[in-house]
Amino acid sequence: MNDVMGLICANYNTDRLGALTEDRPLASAPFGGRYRLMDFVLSNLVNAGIRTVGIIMPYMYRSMMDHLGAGKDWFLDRKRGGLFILPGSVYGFNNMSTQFLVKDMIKNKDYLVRDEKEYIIIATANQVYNMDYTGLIKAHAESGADITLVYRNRALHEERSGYFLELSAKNRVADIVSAKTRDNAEEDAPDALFADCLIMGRQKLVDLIGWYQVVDYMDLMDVIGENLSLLSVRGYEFSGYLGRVESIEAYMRCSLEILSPEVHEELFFGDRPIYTKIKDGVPTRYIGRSEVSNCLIPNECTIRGRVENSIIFPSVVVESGAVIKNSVIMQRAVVGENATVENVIADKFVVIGKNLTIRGNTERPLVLKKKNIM
Amino acid sequence: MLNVKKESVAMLLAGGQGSRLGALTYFIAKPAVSFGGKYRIIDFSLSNCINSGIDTVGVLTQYRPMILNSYIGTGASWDLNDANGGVQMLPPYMSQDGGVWYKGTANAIYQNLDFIWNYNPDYVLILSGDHIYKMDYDKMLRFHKDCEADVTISVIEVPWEEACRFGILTADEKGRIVRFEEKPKNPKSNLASMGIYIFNKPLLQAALSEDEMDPDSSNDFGKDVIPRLLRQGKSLYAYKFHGYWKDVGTIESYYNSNMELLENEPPFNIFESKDRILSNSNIYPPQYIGPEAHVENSLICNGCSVLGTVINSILSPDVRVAAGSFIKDSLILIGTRIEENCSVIKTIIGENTLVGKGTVLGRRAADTPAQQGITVIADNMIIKEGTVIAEGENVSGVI
Repeated sequence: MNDVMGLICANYNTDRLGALTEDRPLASAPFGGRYRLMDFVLSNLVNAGIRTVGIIMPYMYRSMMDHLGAGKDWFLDRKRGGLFILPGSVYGFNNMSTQFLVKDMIKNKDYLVRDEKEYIIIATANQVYNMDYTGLIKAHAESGADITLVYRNRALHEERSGYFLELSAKNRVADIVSAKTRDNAEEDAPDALFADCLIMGRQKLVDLIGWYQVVDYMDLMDVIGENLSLLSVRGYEFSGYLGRVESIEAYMRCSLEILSPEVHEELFFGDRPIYTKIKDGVPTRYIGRSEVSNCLIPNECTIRGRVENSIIFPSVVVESGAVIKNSVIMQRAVVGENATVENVIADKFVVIGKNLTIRGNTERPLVLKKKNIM
Repeated sequence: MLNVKKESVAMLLAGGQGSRLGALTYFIAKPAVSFGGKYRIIDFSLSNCINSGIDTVGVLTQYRPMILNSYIGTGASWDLNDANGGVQMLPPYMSQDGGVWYKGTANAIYQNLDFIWNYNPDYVLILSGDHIYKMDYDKMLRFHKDCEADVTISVIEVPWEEACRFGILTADEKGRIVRFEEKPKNPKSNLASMGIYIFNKPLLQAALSEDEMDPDSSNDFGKDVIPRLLRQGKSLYAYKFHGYWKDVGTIESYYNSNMELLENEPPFNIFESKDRILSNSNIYPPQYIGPEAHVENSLICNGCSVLGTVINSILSPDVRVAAGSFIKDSLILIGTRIEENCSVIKTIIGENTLVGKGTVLGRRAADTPAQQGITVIADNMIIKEGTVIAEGENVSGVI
């Protein structure tokens, strides 16, 4: 896909992930045993053959740069195209809820005009999905639309957030409604939830943001919504698995969802791998009579105890007699002998001492902050 | 290429077949055979180089180099993708007078003297890509300089009863080598050559040219070059290496060295953080251990999916064990699929092999008290449903 470029809008954060995003952007929250959230959208772009990708950086992006480097692990360390690190324009509270901030695009207009690609895919970095963007690109090109918005049908348990599309014949978008302004009484309205991903003509984007120089704090989705009568906007349904990580509860739910064989088969074992920063870990050691069931475990772990329905990250040590259930245990955490951990998200370097019992509940998992020693 | 002078360059011999590994080297050279789940044997020498500060490595390939070439790639996985130096593959080539295969280890280096000239090193380190060990070559180089030696050979003490299988060196109290015997019947020493040499560059050039002129030579370092240099009274020193070193040349020693990694305190510790062995890992997802799975005392790599039982075994990356299957005391190499209800005992299954439903690999013979023979299944095989293979068999070709 030589005529498509990517733009990842990662300048977005939320306090609803508590300690998990206190010291790191949402886009670099660890997820799924060896990934960070940004890996999914990056891989989707790269798997569609796109080799020009810009990322608008959030505040405190050290962990993002540590992860991305020069983009080598996504084949974006190259002569032509490659990975473009684009500074976010504003940081802080005001920006928290705007995912596609127009100002970020205006300030980085050079990236948008230098490489004259026909199309640009714009997406956020906090969603867990493996989507074949080539289908989207093809549908967009064939329809002749100005903009194609990816949507999915909202799952029942999900909260109403983001934008909803009202679709008319031939998947034309008749209206875009923000969940914030949407009347909750409209329960029966179709729930085509915008999947925070769109494709449009690159020049169209440059023109569109040009009109909004003076009100650049807007979200691109509001801009598109205001101009629906002038633009041809279509919807494109994505029917695969998509987990949007927007709160601690959603983080936990998505983590447990990817344990189901259908979901992790779709996400990880298909023809489109999810790429991530490569670490050269030793194989994981299951020592003695470890008991492990329904878990995702990467390399470099040492497992002596019992682990059920959980996601483990590299270099985690589970001592003998320890029991871990329905939890996410991040890199280099240690769970001591005979400790019990249930419904917990333990961030990196957490140490849980011998014989301790730590329990969250299924509705509200307990988050242990990075480097917490218990 | 910048061709800035280097103090030392390494020449890594990786052209051997390793024919005693049977079905395991049917498609790939011995240095490319998997080890310890996620490694290939050549990882150990390459990692030793970079961990010892040697950043220029020529890799001499000949037998079935395809996997080696793609695996080593630019050398980036070992930080050997340097603008000045790095790793370079050196296969046999044509020249004005035609071309010849590498006739022996010495001839392989002789044919690539121009690679060495590029860097004008003072010392040339000759390595074999066949061995499992961690070694700081820099210590050996310091020893070489301290002795003002012409050649230094790394040696390891082996049990006396096994000495007859090695090239055995006898050294005086200062380490100077006084005798070298290839596989002696009555060994006078138990210091075995590890096939690791440091040569002063001018001497290497002279010795290899001389060896090339000798019509009776088999062009081998151990058999020809070293004995000749000894006869000529050159100063050859033995550097004693203390630590783990294995030439996993046979199925038995290959199997046992792998299995040692499962011990609580493995004699060869790949797990410690010091001098990590690097490898060309790819992007496999975390391993999935299913709801009904049972995993006991095993090493498992990324990309695996285990729905059955795995006991005392090593699974390389991207191995799938379906529900109802039972794996014990086995090594399953990269990309192999084991379908439902198989029984695999004391078996090495090669790469990308498909084991159909209900297959029995390593069926114990009725008259043996315990599982004796190691069963070996080659790479890229398709084992049809319900096949039964008895213990100790070596299987290649389509079943």
